[in-house]
Amino acid sequence: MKQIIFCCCMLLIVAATAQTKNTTGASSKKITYSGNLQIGVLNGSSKSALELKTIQGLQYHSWFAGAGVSLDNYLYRTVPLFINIRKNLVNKSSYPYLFADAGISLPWVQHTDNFWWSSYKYNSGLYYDAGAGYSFSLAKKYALLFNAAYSFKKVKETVTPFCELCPPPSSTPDIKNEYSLRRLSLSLGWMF
Amino acid sequence: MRKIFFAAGISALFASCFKDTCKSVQTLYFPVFKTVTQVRADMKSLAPQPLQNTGKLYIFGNYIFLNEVDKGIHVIDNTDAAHPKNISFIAVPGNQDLAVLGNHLYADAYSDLVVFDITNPASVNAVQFVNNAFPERAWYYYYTSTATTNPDSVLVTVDYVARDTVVNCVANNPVYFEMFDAGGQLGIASLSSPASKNNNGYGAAGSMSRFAVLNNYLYTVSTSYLNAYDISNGAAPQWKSASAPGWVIETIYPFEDKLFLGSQNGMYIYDVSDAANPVQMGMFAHVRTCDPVIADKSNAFVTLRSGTACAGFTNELDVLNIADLMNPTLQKVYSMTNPFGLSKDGNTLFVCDGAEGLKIYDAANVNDLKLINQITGIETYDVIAYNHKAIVVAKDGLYQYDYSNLNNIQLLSKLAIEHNN
Repeated sequence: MKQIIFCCCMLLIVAATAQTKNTTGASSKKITYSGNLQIGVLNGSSKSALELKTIQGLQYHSWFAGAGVSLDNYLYRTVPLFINIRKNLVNKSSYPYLFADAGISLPWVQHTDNFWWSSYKYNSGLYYDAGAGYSFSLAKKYALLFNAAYSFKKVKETVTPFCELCPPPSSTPDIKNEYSLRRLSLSLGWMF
Repeated sequence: MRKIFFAAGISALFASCFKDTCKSVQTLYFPVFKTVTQVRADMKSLAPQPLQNTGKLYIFGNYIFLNEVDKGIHVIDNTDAAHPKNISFIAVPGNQDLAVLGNHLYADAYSDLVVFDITNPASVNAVQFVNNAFPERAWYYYYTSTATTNPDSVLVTVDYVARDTVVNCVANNPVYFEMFDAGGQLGIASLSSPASKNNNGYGAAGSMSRFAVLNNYLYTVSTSYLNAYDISNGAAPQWKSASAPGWVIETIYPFEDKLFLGSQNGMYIYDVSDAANPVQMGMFAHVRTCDPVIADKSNAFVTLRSGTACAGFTNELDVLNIADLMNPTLQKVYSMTNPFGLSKDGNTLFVCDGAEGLKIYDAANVNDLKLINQITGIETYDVIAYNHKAIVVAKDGLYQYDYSNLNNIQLLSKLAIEHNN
């Protein structure tokens, strides 16, 4: 978990200090650096929860590709790590776009023991989302983002049940649960 | 109107898309039954079986009797500790505990106490059955196991057929598995005790045992009771008395004319100078946890561990001062990782500390235990240390070590666990 927090901090530091810049030399204006920070709400059949996300990457014409990390508080807190693809739909300062993310969702809590009952272990699962958004230009390189997406994450849980006076057979069988969590993600973002 | 229907349709579509689901893989166990008559007829030496889910052990002369939890007892010829031989298996459905005195082995079989003649350990036969000695386990029989019940009408679970199944579960509520949880938590390994000497050689159980032999008496503990059996006639145990020490008794350890009981809320000391009628002396309370205990003349050594069956979060070794048996006091606490059984040979203390392996301490000064050596790479549950030889029950097998030189402990042998995949 410390490693996850470290990676998130590093990504945020990069985001905070990053500048839009050319990276290709003579045709330097074709590829530019871009990043964003987002805060949103995940709404599903179980509950609503907060989501924080940051994505860093490269813009090439109307395409963007990058990598991101988020903090997903829906039911089981996880840290999705993902690849992001975005397509701007019009060539204007303010524009709609489509995007998709895909990656893995790392459990925030990997192991916990309930005082009286069972032991729980969590493993990574699939994460993806896809949706649409609108970039509202504020200044030269900054923009406000509005996103709506279908978001999915899978959480794998292994439960070792507590049993004080148990019948045979002797080995306590673990229970393996797979949660498929489907949410509507609504978020606001700051692009730089 | 069309816009309303369109919005409602979109909402319904979204509602069905944003649904959390859960799939749970659980193991179902289907029992295989035999009648009590059949089960008892099979309680004899059979061909040796591989070690798979070992529990408590008892050493007796040149033999090791090693419990296969809820299935029976492995008989191991340990004449050459460097080359132990698994020579036979005694089928005892429901077995978790065992003890030996003279030519007789005492074992539980669900609610029954079974006496085996081990004059020839390679050819063992059951000679006596005490019905309903452990009534809290009687519900494993489909009829109450009493002397008046026709044994042929009582069915005993002798095995299970396991099958995985997938069921739907609730996405926001973990599933609690209640039906087929296993025992074995109570029966994991046993530590050695200074146990009874008999004409057939040295015998010892462990600190995690629920059976103790002392002065021709067999003492057994269930969750709530301490039972005393006169076994001066080894083949015919005579029940004498039952005491109610306290809450969830787990282990019993004999020392001189005292019994030390480990329970989930503390350690109890019983005086058995009147062997048939144990009398409670002192008690040392601790937080709820699992605690095997051993003792010498001055101190009791108790390991406290957390874990699913044990609950709690405490993992430590408590050294108790038992100068006043009516009022044992805590003398020193040593932090551990996840300690199980323990054993003591003179001033050397052996502690099984789970995945940390076997820890060997100089216990000449209990206020300052010094770690002399540590055997790592094995997940230890139990140890019997006697005469420079340590027999260790670990997750992957039965190990034997020569500790003549405590700074250079030598591995003598390993009997490996064979896993069913």
